[in-house]
Amino acid sequence: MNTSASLARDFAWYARHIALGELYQSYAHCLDSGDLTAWPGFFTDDGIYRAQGRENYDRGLPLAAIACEGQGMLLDRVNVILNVMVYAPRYIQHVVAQPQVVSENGSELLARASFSVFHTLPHEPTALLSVGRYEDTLAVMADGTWKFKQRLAIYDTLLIPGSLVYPL
Amino acid sequence: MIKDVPHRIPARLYTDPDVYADELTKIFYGKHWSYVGLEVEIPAPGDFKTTFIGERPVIVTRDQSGEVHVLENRCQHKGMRLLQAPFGNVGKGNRIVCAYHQWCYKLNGALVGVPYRNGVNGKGGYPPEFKLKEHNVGRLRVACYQGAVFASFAADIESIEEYLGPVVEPYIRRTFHGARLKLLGYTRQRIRGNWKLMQENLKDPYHPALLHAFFVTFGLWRPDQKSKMLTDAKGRHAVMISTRSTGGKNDEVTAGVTSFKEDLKLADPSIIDVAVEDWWGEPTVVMQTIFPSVIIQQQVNSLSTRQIIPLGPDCFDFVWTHFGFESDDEAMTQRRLRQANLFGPAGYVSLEDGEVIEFSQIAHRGYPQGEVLAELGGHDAEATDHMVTENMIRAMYGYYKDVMRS
Repeated sequence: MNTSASLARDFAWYARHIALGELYQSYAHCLDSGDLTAWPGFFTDDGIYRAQGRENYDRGLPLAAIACEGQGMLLDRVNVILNVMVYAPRYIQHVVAQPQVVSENGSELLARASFSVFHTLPHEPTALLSVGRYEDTLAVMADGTWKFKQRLAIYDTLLIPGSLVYPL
Repeated sequence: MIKDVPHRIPARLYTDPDVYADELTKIFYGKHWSYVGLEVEIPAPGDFKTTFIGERPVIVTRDQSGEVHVLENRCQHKGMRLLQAPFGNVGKGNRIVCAYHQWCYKLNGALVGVPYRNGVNGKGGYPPEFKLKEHNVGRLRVACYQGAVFASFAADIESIEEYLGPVVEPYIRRTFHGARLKLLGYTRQRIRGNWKLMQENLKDPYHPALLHAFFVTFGLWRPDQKSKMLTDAKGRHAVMISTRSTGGKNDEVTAGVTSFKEDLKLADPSIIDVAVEDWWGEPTVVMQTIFPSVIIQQQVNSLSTRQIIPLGPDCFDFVWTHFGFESDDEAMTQRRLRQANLFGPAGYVSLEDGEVIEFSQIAHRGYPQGEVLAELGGHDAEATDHMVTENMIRAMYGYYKDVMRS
């Protein structure tokens, strides 16, 4: 009895571990594919996304390079990137570590993962765009999947090489 | 009136290392005031900030009496950079101590102690003619102007008010009107372009309505708005002043302009939820280029300084410091932060400026014999009451030519 209960707990833990890993990789692939239209769907309706320099985060200064609150602003960011802004075409590629659950509280999780993002511009060798970590609050949906209630991409690479076109 | 201004700029001014070396000497290290920060970044005694003027590392400190000093960030012994952290406090001793051999300086740069000065066990040490006061850290002229801090390597420079001049100064005083500032944070980018291209970008009212779809579509900056394009008497600083319109279609402005997106709609318009502030007066946007090192931005509720730190002829760092006022309520702070999405390295508008500067530099590098035209609105540098001009670029190069030939 005890054994089966603990097996069930282990199974649930592994299942979540895998599901979160899948989610983080899907998020990265969405951005790296260049088709960002699915990006807002990773967030809850009132989801918050910020790409913020570590110096601001550490000092409690609120400015972020990108700050979206809610689906509307997330959709606007996608629309402006895909249809409005002028920039050199580029590839980006995320390398995202397996997320670590920091704490859990009912239907919410706090998790973090480090990221590296490379970019490749026309006529240029590939270079490092950004390294940092995600500090996330995830909420479980009715169907058991997870969405970001808040995703903070806190970047160490304070001096952004050129432009930050795509979200981290 | 500014005479004999160039209307064509040789591309090699953006690429030639000898020209660049000369610019460092005559402009950044010469008789000019360079922006180094805001007083609110170093609020307490012992606080410091490290930054650069040209390529020279400098320290901005506040001493026990509250006075602000700007020092060369270089120990007088081995030439080591004294302070490494971008910001900090030197601690309760109120001394700057070099990590290498513990030379010890006051916050005003005065050398107050060196280890083993008289030797150890009667041996070694500095000779009797060694005088501490002959080895102070280099100290720059400082001007604290309404909360902004400027510094100069030139001992005989005019006051900051005279430097800015009676045309430009009132607009800076409008932004820095005496209310205590509130620091909101930083973004930083390294742009692979010549530093002057960024000064030109903010003296160029022609491009915003053409390059920046966001501006023209939402009426934040477009040539059918009421505007003024001014320079100081020497032509080195400029102010672009305008009042926002409701945006939308106007055939003279938008016909054939591919960046104008009549169907661009925001799912969440709160990013352009503008609240008029009582210090504005009529203008809703005032962009000030202070030669050579800073742009001071007010675009509706978004306020920032943008510091230019050159790194060779083909590269500069661009440091954005966003701020509001201590008197802002939470709604105003949030408004400023939302509008900041337009600016900085990921900004709906400013990202495009960094990109076009890099595109320009790549071409200048390959075609240094080329010329750049600055002929919109004629060949003079007179102030205008419209945006369809490159007068402020011509004015800057009129001044530049004189300084570089001096």
